[in-house]
Amino acid sequence: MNSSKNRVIAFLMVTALLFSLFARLGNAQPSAEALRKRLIAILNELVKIEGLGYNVTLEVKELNRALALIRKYERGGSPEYLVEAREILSKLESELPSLKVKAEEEKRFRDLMLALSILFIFVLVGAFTYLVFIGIWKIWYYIRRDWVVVPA
Amino acid sequence: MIIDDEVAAVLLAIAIVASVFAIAQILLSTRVVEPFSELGLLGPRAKIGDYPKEVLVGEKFKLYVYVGNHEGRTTYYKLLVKLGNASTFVNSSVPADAPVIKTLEVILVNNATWLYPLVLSINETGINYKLIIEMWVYDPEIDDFKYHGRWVHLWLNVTKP
Repeated sequence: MNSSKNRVIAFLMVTALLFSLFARLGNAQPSAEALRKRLIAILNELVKIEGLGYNVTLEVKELNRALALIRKYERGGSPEYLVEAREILSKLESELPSLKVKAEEEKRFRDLMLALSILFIFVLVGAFTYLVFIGIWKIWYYIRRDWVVVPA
Repeated sequence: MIIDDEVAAVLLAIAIVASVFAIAQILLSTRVVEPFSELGLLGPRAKIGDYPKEVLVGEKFKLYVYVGNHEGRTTYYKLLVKLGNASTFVNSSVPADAPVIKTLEVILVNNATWLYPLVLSINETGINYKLIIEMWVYDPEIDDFKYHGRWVHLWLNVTKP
């Protein structure tokens, strides 16, 4: 009875130890090189989003902030800079999917507005033609004013 | 109010011209005809001129670096500050073969500019030092930075105090 109790306690202790170890690994010091790779990956995604016509100025500002922190660390700064840079990059990574959806929606809306504007111009041109050139038949009539209908 | 045909025609003509102009602006605003980047070196007051010519060994001197992005997309720039001499060769296709004394990095969105105060000091005396600043850009195709063919340089004499 006692030995099984000990086994349960040992199991719980090992589990707690593993949990704390994984928790530590999760917060482990990120490397500057790994963060630079993540930064590049985010940049590539932002360029794609920008290609859809979305303004990524705010996101690029954050990316520059992360880059500055990584550079500070590389010049001999505190490892805290890397942790802060990682937080910024993680936040940006989490925002990317929604940004992409928003950018695609905005592009669709812009394309629709553009198509409607072009249609509107065609309508205006039609109305203009009607108002200005409707009397064109008068010219046709004027040219033929002297024509004489000859019986066959 | 009844608008007669002539007035309506004039108003329509104005509306057509304005609409065509507006749509042309929308279509052309996203088009980049000739993508380019700007690189400039400014004096200690962030203006063209007053560049240092003679500096003392170890003395800090200030310059401003100006970068402008007109590439039509967000671009990641790396500026390499190199210290060469009279025989150091650099042109738009060949970067200078000289030691890098400082590296600057910035990511700029399209049509953004960046002005950075660059404080430098040189620890060896010499004449005709060539302070070169080269522009490199990140190229996603090679997953690395490549020389963008833009550079500026400043001649310096470094003397003893």
